[in-house]
Amino acid sequence: MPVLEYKCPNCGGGLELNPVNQKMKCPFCLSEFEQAEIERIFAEQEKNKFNTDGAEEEEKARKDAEFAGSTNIYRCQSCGAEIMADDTTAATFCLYCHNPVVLSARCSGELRPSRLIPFMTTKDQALSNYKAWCGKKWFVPTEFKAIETAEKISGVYIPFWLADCSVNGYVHAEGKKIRTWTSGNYRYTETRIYDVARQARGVFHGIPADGSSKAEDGLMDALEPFDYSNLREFSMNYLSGFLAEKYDVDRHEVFPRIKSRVDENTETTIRNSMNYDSVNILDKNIVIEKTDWEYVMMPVWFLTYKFNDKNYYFAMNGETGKVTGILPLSKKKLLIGSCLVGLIGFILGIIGGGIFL
Amino acid sequence: MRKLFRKLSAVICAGAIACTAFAFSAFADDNEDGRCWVYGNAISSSDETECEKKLDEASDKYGIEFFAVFINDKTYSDSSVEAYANQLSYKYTNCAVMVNNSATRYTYVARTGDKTKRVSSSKATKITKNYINTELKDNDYVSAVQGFIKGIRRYSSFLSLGVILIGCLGFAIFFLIMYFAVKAKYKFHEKPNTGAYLEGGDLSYDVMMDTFVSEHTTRTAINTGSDGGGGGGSHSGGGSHY
Repeated sequence: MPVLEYKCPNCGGGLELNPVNQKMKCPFCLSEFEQAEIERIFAEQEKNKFNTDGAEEEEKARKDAEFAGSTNIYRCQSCGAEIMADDTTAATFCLYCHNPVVLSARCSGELRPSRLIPFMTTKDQALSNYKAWCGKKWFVPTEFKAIETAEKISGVYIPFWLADCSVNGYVHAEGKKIRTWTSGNYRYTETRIYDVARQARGVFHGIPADGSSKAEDGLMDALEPFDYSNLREFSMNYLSGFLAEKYDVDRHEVFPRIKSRVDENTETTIRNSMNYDSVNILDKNIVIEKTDWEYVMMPVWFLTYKFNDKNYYFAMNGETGKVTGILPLSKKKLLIGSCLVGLIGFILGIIGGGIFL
Repeated sequence: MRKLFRKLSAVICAGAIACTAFAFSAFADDNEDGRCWVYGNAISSSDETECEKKLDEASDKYGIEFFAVFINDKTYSDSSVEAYANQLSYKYTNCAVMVNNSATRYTYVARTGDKTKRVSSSKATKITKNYINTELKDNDYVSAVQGFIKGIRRYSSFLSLGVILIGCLGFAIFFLIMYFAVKAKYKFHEKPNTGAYLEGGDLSYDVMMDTFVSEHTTRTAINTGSDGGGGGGSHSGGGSHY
């Protein structure tokens, strides 16, 4: 399988995307290039290569593809080392020379995303956000906070399906309006019952659902919202310097998650249009009439850490910087905290009991 | 006729009160030494000595004047016993008096002063029922006096069993709320807002039908009676039969 490496025209080092200015940066000579410029240089280099030793390269590529097809092992074009990758990896690093490598075949044809949101936050920002987030949590074990995480945090392009859904919903309910007033020594309660029906339609644009079985759905949902105004036409350039996954959960498998969200929101929206003191839904029928799909990649800073034989996750939206995750809980701290709060309850109980008993 | 009846009633009541006062003043003249007063051989002299000792010890220890009065005379009504206990308790700043009439099987406890201010009338009744009368049923007068002291102590204390139980309940509630709230927070995944993807922020409604079906009105009487109790005076008492 062919691999892509964007090399620095000055020193030959592997270029990485700089999230701050969206330029390709060489970490060795610190040169920066516009993406269009690099694509042009890269295209010229490929053309020259083909002209000089095309037959030889073709044969080599064919053998590589044959080899890779069966083993998921690729050859780094910088140092010649073999790169092992699993079935879903689309971009990675060479373990030996640490050059960024894009497995282009994993992002072409059907697997090619139409658009992506490039990383707009740096690793340092992700790290400082993680530390700030973790530091605020009082019940996280102290020894966990001391774990060095800098090297473990990775920028990953996660495959996402964006669904545009046209929905038609019908809700039949019983609504009650309740009015109370006092007259003399009596309190009156008047209940007016209404038969309520609503038929509504609407369009949801770009409901995201991750297409990676490795990424936990709840964690990915919590990273929303992404700002779609930053979606760009897909280019391999953006993947350079980051990890990337191709989808292994297709849109049919993702659809139930999308449907559940659309159903729930449609029902809530319709219910909110019923201005009653209480609403009892008698019947409902929410149908998604049409769904358009788009395959995109979203930037996520990701950290998985093992603590006391359990895995915990941290994720940060690579575009907006929003953080989420699951942290370990110190049982000792939790018990101490709960006892302290319980003590307040005890004191209040004693005071209250002393006054009223 | 009515005026005559009123006058007669007043005379009879005044006579009854005067007789009670006279009778108890006669008792008082008889036996006002110590803390345990016995009339009409209500208890044995050995029990009297023992009770005296217990009451002395308790009075010294807790700073409350404890008195126990044992009567054995069926001509004295419950109200006379209560009047006597109250009259006696008023003589002291911090005092708890137990009066038992074994002839009518009635016991009354009265108290005055700040140290026993938490012993309300209902609690005094509880003391007679739960601490004193249970012992008196077995004619165990010494244990009855001990029960009387114990009951007064328990209900005088700010940290009574009931209060401690409420405190423990408060602890348990706050503890559990904190425990589960923190646990939930550390597992929590923020739910995404799907409404943010809805075009125009709302649905367009083809049908919006609201049909009136029925109406009914209910009427509830408002309880206007006052539930509150009187203020916390510095004197109270309560009694019960056994």
